[in-house]
Amino acid sequence: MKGLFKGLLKENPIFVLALGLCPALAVSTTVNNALGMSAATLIVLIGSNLVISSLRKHIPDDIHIPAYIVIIAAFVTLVDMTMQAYFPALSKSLGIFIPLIVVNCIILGRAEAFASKNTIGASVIDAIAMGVGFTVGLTAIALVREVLGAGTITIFPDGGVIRIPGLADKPALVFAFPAGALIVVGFLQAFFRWLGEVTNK
Amino acid sequence: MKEMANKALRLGIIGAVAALLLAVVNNFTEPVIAERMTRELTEALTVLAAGGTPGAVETEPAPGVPQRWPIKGGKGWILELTGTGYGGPMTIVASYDTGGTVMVARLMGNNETVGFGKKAEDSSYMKIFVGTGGNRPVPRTKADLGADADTVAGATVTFSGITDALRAGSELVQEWEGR
Repeated sequence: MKGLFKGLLKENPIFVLALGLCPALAVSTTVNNALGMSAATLIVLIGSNLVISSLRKHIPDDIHIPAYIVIIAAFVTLVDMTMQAYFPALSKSLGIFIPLIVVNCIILGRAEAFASKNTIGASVIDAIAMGVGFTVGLTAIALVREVLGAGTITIFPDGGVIRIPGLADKPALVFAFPAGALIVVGFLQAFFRWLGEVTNK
Repeated sequence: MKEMANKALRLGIIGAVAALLLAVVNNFTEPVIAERMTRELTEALTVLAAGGTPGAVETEPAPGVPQRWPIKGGKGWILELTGTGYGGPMTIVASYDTGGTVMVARLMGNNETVGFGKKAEDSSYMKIFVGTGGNRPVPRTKADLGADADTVAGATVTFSGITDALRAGSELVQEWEGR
């Protein structure tokens, strides 16, 4: 069970391992985008870790990268098709970043560093831990950026938007842009690392 | 040689199983996606006709225009236009009166960046083009937008792609109507 919480602070993929920063910067403009991206990444992580771990003794070293990519791409395509069919608004909103999960460093990184060397159970727990850590990181970035950059918190695009008085009329637009995303990631990275050190003591 | 064949076989099996799994999932999702796209197009055409009734579709009436629909009663045209955005090709649908003025415009399929070009999917974004194309030219640059310039901030390529497509559509309608 201890492994389940490692992704939150000690090995948070975004703030400590610095993995998956591209989608973290790109889709963190609204909270609902962050939650949708996190859910898609979590599903792909669990699926790919499970399959790669179960096939680890049957995939020779020479072909392990193409084999992992095929497995990861299959899960990403499955998630993409399902989102297009049943969550079209979210699918449109996330656009190209769903297919790009294939090249998200978190997925291949965990497959290579963990699932290829550990049991199925441990690999699934690792996937959940990293997926939850990614969710916490991405949602934290999106929350700060949306509150400061748009003065809103979007849970559901249709009818689930909380407007923050004062900020909604005069938001700090820089936080909606890539420069603002980098500033927020920097401060949150410092905060999460400090929190990790304090809880370790 | 035997070892190489063994590796190729293993990789082939993984690929085949992945393809089979995706084929099964596609069997369920493809009809749902097709039905939604048809429904979205019908809804869009109703809005684009601006109170009129869209006629029968005609394919490839001109380069850059995959489809067009006449608005019954000679009230104008609805065009599907192709523009080039930051994320590649964009599909724009727009209705024009017989003078080539944009009545309603919508951005449909696109791969624009979330938080930037994607905001062109909002109807409020496309309203800046309504009423242009006939007596008022379709804006070429952000400077032409005046007070609306903030609406398109941060997505110049998307804006240029849409405005180029809408201008081309307006010119085509004027040509078809003999103006």
